[in-house]
Amino acid sequence: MGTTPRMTLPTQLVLRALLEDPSREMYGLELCAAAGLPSGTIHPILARFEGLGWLDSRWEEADPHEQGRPRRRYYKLTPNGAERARTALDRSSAKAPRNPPILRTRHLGGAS
Amino acid sequence: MNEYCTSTPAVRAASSLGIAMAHMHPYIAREPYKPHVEAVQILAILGECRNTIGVLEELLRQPEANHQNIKSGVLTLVNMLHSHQDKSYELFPNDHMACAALTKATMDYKQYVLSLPNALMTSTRAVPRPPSIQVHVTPNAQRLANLTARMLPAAHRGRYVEELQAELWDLASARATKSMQLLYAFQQLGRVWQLRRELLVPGRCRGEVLLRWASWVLESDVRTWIPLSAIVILALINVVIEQGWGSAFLAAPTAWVFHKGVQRLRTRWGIQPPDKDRARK
Repeated sequence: MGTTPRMTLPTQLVLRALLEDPSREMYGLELCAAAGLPSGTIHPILARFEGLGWLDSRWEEADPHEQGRPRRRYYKLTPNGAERARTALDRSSAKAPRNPPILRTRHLGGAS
Repeated sequence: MNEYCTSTPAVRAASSLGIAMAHMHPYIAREPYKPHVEAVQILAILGECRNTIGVLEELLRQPEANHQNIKSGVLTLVNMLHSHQDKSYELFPNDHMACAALTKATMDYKQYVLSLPNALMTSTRAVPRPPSIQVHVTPNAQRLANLTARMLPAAHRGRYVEELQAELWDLASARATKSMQLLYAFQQLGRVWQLRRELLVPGRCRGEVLLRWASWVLESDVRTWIPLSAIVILALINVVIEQGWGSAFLAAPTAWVFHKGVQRLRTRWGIQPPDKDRARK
């Protein structure tokens, strides 16, 4: 899973929010607020990065009955994911903004 | 919070009972009729009753008061009043005034007992509840979130049901209105196909196959111009046959448009045809 996904603006915002503190775990709504995105946008992006191995996710350890609420799902960048995210963000900000995603993937040399 | 608690029926009833009991005070305290020691005992009971009422009032004012605490306080008070009532009858068997005061106190006592269920309910409402009770998640938003999860691949459904419900709960706990919760659920539903696609093939964008193919074609002059030239020539032949040479002459700039189009796409997508690179070297 070494490909670099499309670096759309929402994607970049999510990555920047996660890179603020790569060791910090955040749940979906928290990420929405941090990235300034509407709630529906976040899950496809998170699923994409999780599928690519950039993100790790886990359930909150607290017992839902004790907490009186459903468990949250926490997301965190993997060490490799954080590195790749930084590279991808650097490249996307350096590149012309209208490059098609597929070509950006090639230039990054991410396809494997 | 405090203002709310002090106005509960339990406190009002307890206060009125305290006043009624205080009416009896002069009769109980009339020493010529009864021995001083008994009057002192009754005064002590009355004082204890008032103290208990005060404790109950204080309890209702506290944010951590719960149903069990209030019920226990009320029962203690009721037991004390029973004890006081029994002793008063024993102490004033022939005193009409004292008995009238006792009747008044008993009536208030009954009123107080009748008001207990309502008082307890009101008090329970006034007490801050744990977050799980206060949070109200809109059922329609929950249904929409469940519907969204149901449209996802089976392996991911359970996870997203819980995750979306947790986020709805978080929204509700942040005092999101019904419409805000519904908006959240609709936003999730609106992106369900995108999420589904990401879950099935992560990182693959819409039309990626076409884009990949187009960039592969544009990377080579041979791959680009042979098909395009063939299309342009066939189109021109068709125009000559159908409409004559004049129309074909007018359609000739189409080739130039194709050429410019290819150049523009290559510039925009940053493609340098390898054929050209090789020629340069």
